[in-house]
Amino acid sequence: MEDKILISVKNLKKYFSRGKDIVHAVEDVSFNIRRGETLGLVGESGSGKSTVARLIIRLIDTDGGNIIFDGVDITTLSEKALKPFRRRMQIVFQDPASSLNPQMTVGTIIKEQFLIHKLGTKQEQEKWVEELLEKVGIDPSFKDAYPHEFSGGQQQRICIARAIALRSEFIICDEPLSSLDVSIQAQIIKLLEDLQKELGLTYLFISHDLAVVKHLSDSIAVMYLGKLVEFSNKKDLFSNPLHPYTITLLSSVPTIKGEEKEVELKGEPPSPINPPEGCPFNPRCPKKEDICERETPILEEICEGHFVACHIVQR
Amino acid sequence: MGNKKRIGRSYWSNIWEKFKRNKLAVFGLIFVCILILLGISAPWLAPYPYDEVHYEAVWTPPCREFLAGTDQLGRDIFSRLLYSLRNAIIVGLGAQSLIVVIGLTLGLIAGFYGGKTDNILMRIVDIVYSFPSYLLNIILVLVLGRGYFSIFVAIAATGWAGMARLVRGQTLSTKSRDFVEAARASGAGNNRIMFRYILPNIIGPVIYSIFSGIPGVMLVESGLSLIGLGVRPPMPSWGLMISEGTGQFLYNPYMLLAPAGMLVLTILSFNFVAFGLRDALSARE
Ligand SMILES: Nc1ncnc2c1ncn2[C@@H]1O[C@H](COP(=O)(O)OP(=O)(O)O)[C@@H](O)[C@H]1O
Ligand SMILES: [Mg+2]
Repeated sequence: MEDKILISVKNLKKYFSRGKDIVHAVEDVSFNIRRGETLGLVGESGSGKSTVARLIIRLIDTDGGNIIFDGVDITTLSEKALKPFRRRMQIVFQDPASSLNPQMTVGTIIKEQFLIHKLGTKQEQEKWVEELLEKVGIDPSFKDAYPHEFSGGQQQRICIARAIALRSEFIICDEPLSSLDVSIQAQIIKLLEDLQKELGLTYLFISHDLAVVKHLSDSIAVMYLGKLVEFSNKKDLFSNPLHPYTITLLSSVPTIKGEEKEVELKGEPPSPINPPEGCPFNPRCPKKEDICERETPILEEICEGHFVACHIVQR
Repeated sequence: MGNKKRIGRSYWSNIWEKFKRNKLAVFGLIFVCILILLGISAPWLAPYPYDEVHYEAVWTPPCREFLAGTDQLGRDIFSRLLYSLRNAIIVGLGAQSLIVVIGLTLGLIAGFYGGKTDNILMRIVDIVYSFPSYLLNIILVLVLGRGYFSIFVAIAATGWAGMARLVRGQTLSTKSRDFVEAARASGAGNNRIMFRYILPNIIGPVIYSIFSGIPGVMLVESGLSLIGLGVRPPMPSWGLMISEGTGQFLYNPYMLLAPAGMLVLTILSFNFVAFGLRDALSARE
């Protein structure tokens, strides 16, 4: 089992300073993703999902914890030592328009990947660019067009082409659908699924919306205020959600009959600048008890492969 | 999409499209081109050498022989205007080039590397900013001696700070954009990111700043020649011609109106181009 794990993060921490305050963006996050599978990372805006992504892909440095990629600890590798790993993991951002350099044609944008890693001859690079565009459903004859000449959905396809250009195994999708029309979201999901099947990709799929990850994911991690509150395979999470936060999240996912259950989140999410004592969710939790305000619950395995951080459930 | 003939329209051709829609800016650009051409070809276009005296024809009003009249030494004002234009353009472009080289380099380094480098560089910028720049210009010309080079240096010594500040700000905001992050995540090195990702995306505001800065430089040069520190006489300059013309305004108004008019025309032309550029750059489609 262990050897199937492609990426593993352990006790990941990241704090930002904002003036005098400290933002607890990521607090002790651990999870594994097996090769060829998809982990859905869910949480409200500001819960630290993008920070986790940027830590894993080494765009920012950790304040604690480890990132292990295919058995190698890459947490503190120098940029030089990291380069071979950069080839193997890529990221697709939320806003495709700002993810593409407006001064480059889309062909050049993809070709940059080969130039950075010194791969192939000029002719080969051109050929690869055309193949990649074709693969993501963009007419290769548009390779000399600029990003602003494409629609949002097409731009996101180009971002995906760039992400798979180096035959990377691991791709982080940071809310790749959030800025797209609903009709186009389905097409992009389909594309991501097809590519995963064809290329054996491993995804970390980030979303604030459980409904989106439901379709794609093998397992799901729920984040709240920088902490992981529940982690499980998809089936268990949807059939038997344990954490009160997950339950409220699920209740806002439309059921098959189209009716919505009546559990609503009270109040705004507390700020990660001064996270509440004890369980981060306690100010909004319908099942709150005294202990929740005193002690921080730890993520524990309740049943096989189903982890939850909640005093009430753990009893 | 679908519309095949629009394919391959770069960011710059879009800016140009928007710039062209602004009539005033297009006029400005045409004038700037004409003025630069006139300036360059002054030695061939001028009917007389700029320092040729005609004692028999002092203070001649504009006529067929002397298109803009003559001054107190009987020198042809039209020829002197052309040479002044030439000087203004040499000083404007020369000093701005120096400003761009210094400001772009330091601003890019400060914004890109951040941290201590940034702190030190921006402290220097603040100091330069807080100096009375005209005074510094004067002192520098006095120290370096008169001539084109010392005027370039004197103006650039204070002018680079504004450019550095602009470039630093642009670099900072571009650096955190997703396409730079994506390049970094792919393993692109610092040089590649600076020259292929950041620089091309900040060059628009830099060009705007070059155009909008040229009139200021020309005015500084005129100011310097007003107090006898500009280009070395008898080489003419607008500042000098204007100061000579002011005393004659009641008797020979053309001596003031001609250089003042040319100065205003040149400055307006550059400003109109700058405004057009600013609008084209900030317009979002
Ligand atoms: N570079 C940064 N500097 C300061 N605070 C940051 C920075 N990046 C993110 N944060 C803060 O960290 C928290 C988590 O942000 P983020 O990871 O973007 O959340 P999400 O992606 O889940 O919406 C937010 O409160 C955000 O304001
Ligand atoms: Mg985010």
